[in-house]
Amino acid sequence: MSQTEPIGVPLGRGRCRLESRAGTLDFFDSTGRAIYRFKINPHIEYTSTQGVEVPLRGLARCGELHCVFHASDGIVDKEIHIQARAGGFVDYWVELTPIRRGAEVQCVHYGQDGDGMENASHHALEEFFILCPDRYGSIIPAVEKVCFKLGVPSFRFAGDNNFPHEGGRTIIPPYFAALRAGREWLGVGTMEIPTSEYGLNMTFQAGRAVTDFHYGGNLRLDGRFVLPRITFLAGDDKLGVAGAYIDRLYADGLARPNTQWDPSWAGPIYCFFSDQMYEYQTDRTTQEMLGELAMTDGYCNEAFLDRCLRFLGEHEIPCGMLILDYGWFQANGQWRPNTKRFGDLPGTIRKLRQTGMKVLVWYSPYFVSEQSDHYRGHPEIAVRNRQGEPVFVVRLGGEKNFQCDFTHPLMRELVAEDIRFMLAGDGLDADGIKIDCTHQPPGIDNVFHDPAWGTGEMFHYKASKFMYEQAKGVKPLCCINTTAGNPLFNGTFDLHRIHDAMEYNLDSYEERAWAAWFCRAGVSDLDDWPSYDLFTVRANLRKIAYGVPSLYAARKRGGERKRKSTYGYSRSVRDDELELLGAIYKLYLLAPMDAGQEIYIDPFRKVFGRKYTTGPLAGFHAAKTLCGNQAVAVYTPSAAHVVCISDVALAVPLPPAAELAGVAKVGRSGGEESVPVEFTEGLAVFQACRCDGETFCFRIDYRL
Amino acid sequence: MSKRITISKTTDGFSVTTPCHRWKVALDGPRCRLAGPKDASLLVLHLSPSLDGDATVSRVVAARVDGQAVEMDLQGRAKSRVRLSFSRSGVVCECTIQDGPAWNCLRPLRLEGTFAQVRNFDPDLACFDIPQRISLPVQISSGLQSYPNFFQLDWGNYMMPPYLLAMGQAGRYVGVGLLDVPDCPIPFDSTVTTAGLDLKFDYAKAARTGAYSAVPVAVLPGPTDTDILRQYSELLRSGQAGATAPAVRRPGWWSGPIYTSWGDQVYRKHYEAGRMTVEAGSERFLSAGLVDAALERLAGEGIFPRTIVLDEGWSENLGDWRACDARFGGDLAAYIASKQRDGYRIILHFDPFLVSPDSHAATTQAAILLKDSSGNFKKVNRGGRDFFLFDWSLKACRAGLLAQVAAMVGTAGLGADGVKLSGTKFALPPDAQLADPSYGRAERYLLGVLRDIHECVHAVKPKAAISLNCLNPLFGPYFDIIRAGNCSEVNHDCHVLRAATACRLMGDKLIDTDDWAAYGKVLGATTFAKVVAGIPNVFSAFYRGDGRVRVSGAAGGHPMQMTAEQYHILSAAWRIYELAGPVDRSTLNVDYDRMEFSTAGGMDHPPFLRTYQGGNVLAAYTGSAIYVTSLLDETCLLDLPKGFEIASFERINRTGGSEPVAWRRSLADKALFQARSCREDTFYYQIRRKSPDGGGL
Repeated sequence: MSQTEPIGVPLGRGRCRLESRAGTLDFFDSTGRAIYRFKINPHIEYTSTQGVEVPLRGLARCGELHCVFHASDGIVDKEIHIQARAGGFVDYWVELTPIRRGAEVQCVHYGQDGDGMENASHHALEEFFILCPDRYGSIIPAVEKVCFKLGVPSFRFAGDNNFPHEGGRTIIPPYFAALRAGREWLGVGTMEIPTSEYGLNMTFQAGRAVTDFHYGGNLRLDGRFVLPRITFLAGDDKLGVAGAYIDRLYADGLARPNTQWDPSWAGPIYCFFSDQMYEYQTDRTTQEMLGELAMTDGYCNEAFLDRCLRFLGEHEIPCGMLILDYGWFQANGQWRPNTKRFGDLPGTIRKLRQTGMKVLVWYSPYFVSEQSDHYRGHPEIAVRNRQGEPVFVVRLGGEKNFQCDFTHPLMRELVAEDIRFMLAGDGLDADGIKIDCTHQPPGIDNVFHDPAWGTGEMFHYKASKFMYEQAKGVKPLCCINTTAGNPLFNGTFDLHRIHDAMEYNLDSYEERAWAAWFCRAGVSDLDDWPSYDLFTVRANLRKIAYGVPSLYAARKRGGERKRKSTYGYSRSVRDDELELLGAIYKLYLLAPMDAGQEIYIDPFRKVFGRKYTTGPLAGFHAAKTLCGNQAVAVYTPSAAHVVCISDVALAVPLPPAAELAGVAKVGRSGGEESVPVEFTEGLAVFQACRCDGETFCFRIDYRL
Repeated sequence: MSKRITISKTTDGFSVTTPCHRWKVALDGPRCRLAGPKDASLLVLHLSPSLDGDATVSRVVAARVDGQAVEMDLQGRAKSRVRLSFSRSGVVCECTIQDGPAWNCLRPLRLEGTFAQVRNFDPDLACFDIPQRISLPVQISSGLQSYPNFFQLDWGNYMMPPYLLAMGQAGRYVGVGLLDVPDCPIPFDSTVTTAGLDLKFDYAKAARTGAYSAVPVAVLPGPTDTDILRQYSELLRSGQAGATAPAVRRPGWWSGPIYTSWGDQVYRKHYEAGRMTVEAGSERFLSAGLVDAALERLAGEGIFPRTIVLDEGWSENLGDWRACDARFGGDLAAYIASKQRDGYRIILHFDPFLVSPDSHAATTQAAILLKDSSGNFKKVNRGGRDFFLFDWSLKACRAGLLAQVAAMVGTAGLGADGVKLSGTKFALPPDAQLADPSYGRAERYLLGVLRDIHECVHAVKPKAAISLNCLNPLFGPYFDIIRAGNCSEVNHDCHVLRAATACRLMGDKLIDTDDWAAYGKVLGATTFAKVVAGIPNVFSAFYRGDGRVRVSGAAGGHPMQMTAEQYHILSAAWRIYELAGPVDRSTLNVDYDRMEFSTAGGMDHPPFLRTYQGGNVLAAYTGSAIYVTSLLDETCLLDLPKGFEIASFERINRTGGSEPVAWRRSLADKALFQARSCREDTFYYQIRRKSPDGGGL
């Protein structure tokens, strides 16, 4: 077969087909119109030498669904694979065989300059969509270079990353993008966790898209090496192609659902971090608000924690899991209790557990402060730049923190000891760890002790996996709470924290939770930082329906206005808001989140809920928002309980075949009052009222 | 004023009883203590006018009752008079300096009490706890100088804020508001602590001598911010103070749904000129072709604006307010006329102050440009570009600009139907030097400019509409429609909350609910709410922004093409707006917890508009029918007016067909039915009332 002869391959539900000729992949729509062209000759940049490209040597092998081309640049031989896969995917990957050993790869370009993916029908690539937590999408400008970088550090604004997570801090996006020309969507996704910086790094310019994998010289070619596999699929809507990509990750065994769950992980979570911040704001003595360090010094201590917990108790807001956030320790990299703030932290944790709470402690693995024992005793754990200097970041108003090299066995030993101390009975004996700031791993352009251990995205995966396994080795039922999102990172955490949603609108958490749900990235801790007042009641009403609710501030909440404050001016939470919050959280405990439940989130129509998959209510709601999110209902085998945030007429669905026994308005002091109700078409219809003041909730009794 | 206010003499002053409060006016170092029903020590007014920070307590040399006011002559560093006029629930303090040394700063009053929170109305209803150990500078101004203070606008770009602030805590607030436009650089300049508020009129660089009357200050206790807004508005309407101008009778067309070209201009620029762009430069993308394509697209989706706002770009340049005919097939006047023949009204953008450096005005008429105190031309930066400013205090400047304004609306000129005023925040930078200060200093200068434009436009075309992004009722006489301004935060509530404040302050005006920055996420429940709140407006027929403004560099963020669902929502909402007809929006009831909105009157006094189910269902009540559309597929319980018997209940689909809907009467006065979302083929529901003879009305 000559290389100019086309090879037809089904693609995208039979609507498109693939041809290869003259070093191109052409994607056709169902009418035969070419929609995309992909130049298949990869280009490699080396650190110290430069290869001389020789033209594609042509088709080496060709089966019905698998073609292999050969090329060489004089440094490596490139074997280029194109394979059609079940489900309408076409995979593309490159295998390298060094001609000269030891070449260090800076960057691999799947297409460059005039190459890359282009629109073959001369229609521009008009729009893209990525599944990063904030649902980025945009039309693609006709001129100007546009770039997005999907991966662990993709929050970065710096450089040419035009689409960082602006709505809040990073969760790890799937390595996937959908591109549109006309009505056709083409999905492009990476089918592994690469050792490059970012898992999918696409640049658009002048109608073309190129995909780069940047290794920063840390990929040394001493033997055969397989570059990342990317896959293409076509469809007529962006969510369809995104869903197909996610499905395939699971179908191919690349992503696996989390398997462990303990009911105590359902919370609800309280973390007094924002309460510290907002107390500091109103108690401060300077016009400027000085941020976390100032507030930690004054308020991250046992006395203020007691105040906050008393406050929760006085307002009957239940807490099942407490997070001791930033500040319990002596320094980043000196993970021993700060005894000025907590005189006997193990004792404090023990006392808290006796009240029924699980206690998680905050931990940040990717940097150690200059004055920490870890750094002073072991400076070799810091990543070095090319000049041999340790790499640092300045955090929290001037604190110098060195970035940690997990590829160094000593670093891993220190981390293992940190984890053991936090979880073991002769240490803090905490019930779990909130692992934070993982969106700030060391950059790939630095020098690592053992790059073969894993760099780039793989660095983070292996570090996460290492910490998870260490923790489970110490305490099998401990809860590892961290930020993931990309399903390839499942198995490194128990609760996926959807991280700081820093936009002042209700969409923030819902979209992040939706992205995680879409990717089947485990049960979500719905976080609460920076604890805006807008979220106090309305967001929590929704949150108990689709994840583990979390409260970072109960006394005061931020009012946005970020520009002159650090996290927005705060205002005290009103009594009626606290009453509603308490009622919502108490209802949650009647049917708490469980990993076995089926969550449903529609961020477009604002519909939220979860269903039982086992038990007498299998297939029916465990929790559901009602009436345009004015109310939330939770279901048990004998009753539904409803909290309303306004006076509203409700039509509450009952389980199939349930017999309505009656509706009662339940008072805050426990008294009950019968409510007139109509029962029609499986709905209990009654007039409800806002659940503050004397009213606690409404209970709909039924018999199954 | 109410006759139920009584003032009686006491041993140390006066006792004033109003229907809501008791006030004690003491003469030993004049102060006025509020005795409220809940907390007698809530509030103390210190009334000694203090000059330049001089804390010397004035001595009362005479005090008398003057009608329902108390008037005191004071002797301290200066000779002054304070007059306290009592209303049903508040008091107005007027301070006059009669004689004394030259001074720079007057502090007319101080509030003392225990305050936990401060809230403003700027337009985004910020409410925050007051730090306990420091004082906060809080300034309110229509100009850029308001930006450095603590309550700068974060959510949106700009609306001229009311000179009003409230202090207090839950259930007990005290509003402090100005009843006229001061001529000092920062009109509302205060310092706030948990112990009180100090107000000052600061003329730092311009010493005052001789007689001086400070603008009246209202002190308005009330349980909520809404109550304070109501009181403030009532005081202004009672004619005690403030500018006045003849009211313009509101023609019906002012209520027509609006298409504004700006969003399409910015997003088109984004596509054609690159992503990392600011709004500046988008004026080049306005053209007849763009507007026609937009109208065609909207019409194709069943969306029919009645008014077209040609935004920045119709003229030759900022500062040159003559038509850029080349963008409109060679003749903008003819283009406007053709659109008017098609039934549209045309409003033209007008920025009275900014002058582009490459404009004809800047290059040939430098004499009418504003200068600073050193005699240099004053520049301001907008969107990364420097602009000069016109000096309206010069007669020649006024004459030239007003002639151009007249030509915008005059039949001999472009013949437009109104003016969208913009850029008032640039009117007078702090260190600018007016050529003729007698025209009006500080914000009185802005007041004068608005007055002149208003008079000019209405002299040429009495029914022309002038819209302004302004929440300050003191400027109310000089514009016709309140524009809710740009809401640059992706917050669904923002435009609607602005509209709620607007109708509380100026209930007699229509509210253009605006749409910029045309976020995609806003095009849902907020579209419904806007139909209730005022005139709906769409700024882009093709794109919606994702709001990621920090990275995109452009307001609006990265644009996405509008989806079929979004067009469907828009068309359904606008259809309900049309079916409702003229609705009384003098009150916009906002239930912030529910995020539900309704107009004045109620469903038993149609026409009436409201939302249900957290703002996800929109209903119009007319005498003969109820029209409903929904964002959700959800069970809906719809309130029925008294005596409303249903003759027919139909689903109207997008193709014009209809089908009966299964419904049942529930909870006595409600109709229960399964609503289907307007995002797809359901357009709206039509519920006809049974006539007395049993047929449909």
